[in-house]
Amino acid sequence: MTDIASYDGDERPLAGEYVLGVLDADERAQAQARIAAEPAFARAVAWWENRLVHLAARVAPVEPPATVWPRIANLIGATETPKRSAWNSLGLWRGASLSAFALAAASVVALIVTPRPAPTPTPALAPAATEVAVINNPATQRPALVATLDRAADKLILTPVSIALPNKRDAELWIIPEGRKPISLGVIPRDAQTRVALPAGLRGPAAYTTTLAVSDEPLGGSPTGAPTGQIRAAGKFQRMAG
Amino acid sequence: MDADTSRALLSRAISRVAQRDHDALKYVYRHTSAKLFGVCLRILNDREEAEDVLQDVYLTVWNRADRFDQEKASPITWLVSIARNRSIDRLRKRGGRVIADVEEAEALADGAPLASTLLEDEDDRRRLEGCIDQLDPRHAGALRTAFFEGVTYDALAQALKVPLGTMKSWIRRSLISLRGCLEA
Repeated sequence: MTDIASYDGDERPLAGEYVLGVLDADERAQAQARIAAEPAFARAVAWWENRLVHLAARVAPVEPPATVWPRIANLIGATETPKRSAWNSLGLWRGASLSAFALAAASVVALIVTPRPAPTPTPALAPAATEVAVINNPATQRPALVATLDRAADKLILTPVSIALPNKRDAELWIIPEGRKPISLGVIPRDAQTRVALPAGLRGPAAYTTTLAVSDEPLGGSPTGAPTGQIRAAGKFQRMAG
Repeated sequence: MDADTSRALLSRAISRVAQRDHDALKYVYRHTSAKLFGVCLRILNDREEAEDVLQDVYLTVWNRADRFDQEKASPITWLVSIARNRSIDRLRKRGGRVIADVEEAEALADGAPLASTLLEDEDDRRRLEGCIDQLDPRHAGALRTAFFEGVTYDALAQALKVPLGTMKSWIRRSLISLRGCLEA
C-alpha cells in the first residue's frame, strides 16, 4: 500500500490517471518523462497496468486486415517463405551468423591456430583446408562454440567458447541441411572439446552448406528428437584457407 | 490450451523475439493481434489509424522485447499496455475526439467479458470487477469509459455531461478507492 500510494499520490493518483488514459497531451508527456526518470513512479504505473488491464477482457477482438503482418514482416527484415516452421528459420540464423562473422573470424582463427606447436608435419591429421563454423549466441552475437570439420574422418571437432544455458538444461547440437529439419548430433559438453561423427548423408561437401545450432534441452537431450528449447547458438561453415 | 499454458508460450515467444527471432514475433502476432487491434480500434475509432498503430505496436514489441520482464507483468498486460499507450498517444496528437453519445459509450463499456480472453487471469479480473462494483455506479461507468475510449478528462466530462471538476473528482476518488480495495 505505502509504496504505491506514496508515489501515486493520495490527493491525486497520477500513475492511475496516466494508465487509465485521462491525462491531456501535456500531462501525459510529463508522466512519461517521470516513468523514464523515476523508478518508483514507473513501479506505480506498472502496478496500475497489471490491474486495470483486466478491463480489456471486455474489448471485443477484431481481426486486423491480412495486409498488416506482411508490412511488419517487411519492416523487421523477415522474408516470408512458405512452409517454414519456427525451427526452420535458417535465413535468420544464417544472417545472424554471417553478419557477425567478420568480427568473430579473427579471434576464431587465433583460437584455433595459436595453441598449436609451430610445425606439425603430420599430413594425415592436417586438413588441406580448414572449414570453420562459428556458432554464435544469437542474443549477444558472440561465439558460443567453434566447429571445425575434420574431413579425413568426417567428424566435427567442437570447441565450446561460451555456451549460456539455464540451470538443469543440456546443450544439444543440431545439424540442419538446407531446407530440411534439424538432425540431432547429441548433447555436447560445455567445458571440453568433443568430436562428433557427421551423419552419413552429410559427409563431404554437403556439410558446408548446413547450419549448426545449439538449443537448450531437458537433461539428456530433447525428448522428441526435434529441438524443443531456445536457440542458444547458430552458425554456418566458412572456408578459412584453401 | 489453458490460460497458464497460453501465457507461458507467449512469454517464451517474447523472449525469443528479444533474440531477433522473426518467427517468434509472428507467433506473438498470430495470437494477440485481434485482441490488440480491438483495443486500438476502440480508442481510435478509425480503421486506418488503428492499423498504423497496430503495426507500430508490433515494431515496438520487436525492438523492446528485451525489456519484457515476466516477473513484473503478464505478456498480455505488457502487450495491451503498449497498444493502449500507442493508441492514446495517437489520439492526443490528433487532438482528441468526442464520444458520439453517452448511451453508445456506456453500452459498449458494459458489455459482458468475452469468452476468448484466456490470456487474462480470471481471478484477477473478477477481483478488479468486484472492486469496481463497489464504486458509485456513475463513477464506475466513467472509469470504464475512460479506459476503453482513452479520452481526456475534458472529453469524458463532455460525453457524460458533468462539469470537468466533478469528473476529475469522480475518477480520482474512484482510483483511490480501487487502490485500497485491490491492495486489501
